[in-house]
Amino acid sequence: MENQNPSDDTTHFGYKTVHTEEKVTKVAEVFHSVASKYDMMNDLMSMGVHRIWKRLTIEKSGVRRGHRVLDLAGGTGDLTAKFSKIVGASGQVVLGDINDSMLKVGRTRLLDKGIVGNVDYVQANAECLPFPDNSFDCITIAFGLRNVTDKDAALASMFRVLKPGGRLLILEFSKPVAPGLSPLYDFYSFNILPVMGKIIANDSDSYRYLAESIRMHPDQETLKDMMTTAGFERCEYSNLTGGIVALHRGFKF
Amino acid sequence: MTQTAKQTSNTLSASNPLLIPLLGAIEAGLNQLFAMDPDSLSSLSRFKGRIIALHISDIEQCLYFFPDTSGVQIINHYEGQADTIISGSLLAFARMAMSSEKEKTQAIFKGDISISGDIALGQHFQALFKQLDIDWEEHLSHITGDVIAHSLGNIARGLLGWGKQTLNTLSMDASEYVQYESKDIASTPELEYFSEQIDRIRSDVDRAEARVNRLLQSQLSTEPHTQPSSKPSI
Repeated sequence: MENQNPSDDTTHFGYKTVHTEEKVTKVAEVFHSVASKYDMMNDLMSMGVHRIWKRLTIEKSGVRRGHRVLDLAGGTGDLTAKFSKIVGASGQVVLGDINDSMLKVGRTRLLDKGIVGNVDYVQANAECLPFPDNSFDCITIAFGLRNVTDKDAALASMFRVLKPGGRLLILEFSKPVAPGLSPLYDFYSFNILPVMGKIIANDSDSYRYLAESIRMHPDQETLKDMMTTAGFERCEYSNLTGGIVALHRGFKF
Repeated sequence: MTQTAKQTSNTLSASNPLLIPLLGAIEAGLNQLFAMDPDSLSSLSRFKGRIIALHISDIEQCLYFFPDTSGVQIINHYEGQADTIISGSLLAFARMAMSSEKEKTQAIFKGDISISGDIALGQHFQALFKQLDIDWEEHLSHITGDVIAHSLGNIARGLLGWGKQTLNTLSMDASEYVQYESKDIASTPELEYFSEQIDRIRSDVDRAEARVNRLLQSQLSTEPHTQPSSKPSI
């Protein structure tokens, strides 16, 4: 298990060490707190670049008309909205999130946009997905794996519900690789981000957790190895914006 | 004619990362335009569930349009099959966007632009962009009020009319100068006369060739035992 200490049953929550069961509750608290301002904060924090990262994910998904897609940790439904148009009436998109506040915000937002008919909503834990084996042509998890307590269990669960030939895409913060970017990024994450969180969402702690959890998340190569261990093949990744974010992709054959 | 349109790109490398931000901007701009014209937006809903591919042949890029009731989504890489593919060079598309209906039809017949798959769908989709008619004054009035919006509208119309007239005059003056003053290029009637002359010479040569061939045939048929030593000169 990558980020869990089996001997004393603890894991990390940002830079803090907490009991494994406690992490789920604490992560839930973070997202209950930020759900209403989530989209606005995403735009502000990334200066709109998160839209390009998500577009790249769609481009590499290979999703086509009639496919079944699982958008895990789908939050406010950015990817689901786009997948819904691509899969059409003969396909299906399932927006899954462990947090009911995020799921409610996502559902309301998609309904307001008129995105109905081929979208279903499921409150689900990525570690034990409530779907039969070989159910989906594509699974995406964008900025969600970082918050999962047992990432290996989540990858194994995704592998199980993916159809043979299907692919998993993980869009997640990663380790900057561009020269000179790390100090700037650290300054931004630990000094500017919590202040923005305080001003906009009145919650600096959640955004401090965001910065810390990014540092504790496995880097590009480690995550790729974890995917291979879970059974995925042809695993590869692309660094986006100098490695601040990485898009991993693996196939089930 | 309906046939299944073939996919034009099926490899991961076909997705161009540099194009992605641009696609986002184009998509947002188009959707903003559709949102400002309710008639076009309701027409767009007729295309829901259909996939239209725009293949730009000279840069080997394909844009896939997914229209629905709320606007249009554009992606660069799609592994499935589009319902229709509109194909042409960047220049041909630009020319088509700015030309009249007659010239658009000519572009299709000349082969500059080709439509494969569901041709009617491709043509209707093209027509949709032509019928975009935005009431800028109405949208502006929500911000400034009716009186200011109307005054600004009048100024804009005046400027637009003046701009069009100036552009027309400039274009006519420039063409007159290069045709009649500097005599760098031929005028349209001269060019048409020259083309007619060429056509006439081509027809005359064709007729002469047919006549000579007929004479040779008749000579061969009247003298079956004698072989001509060489072709007679014309």
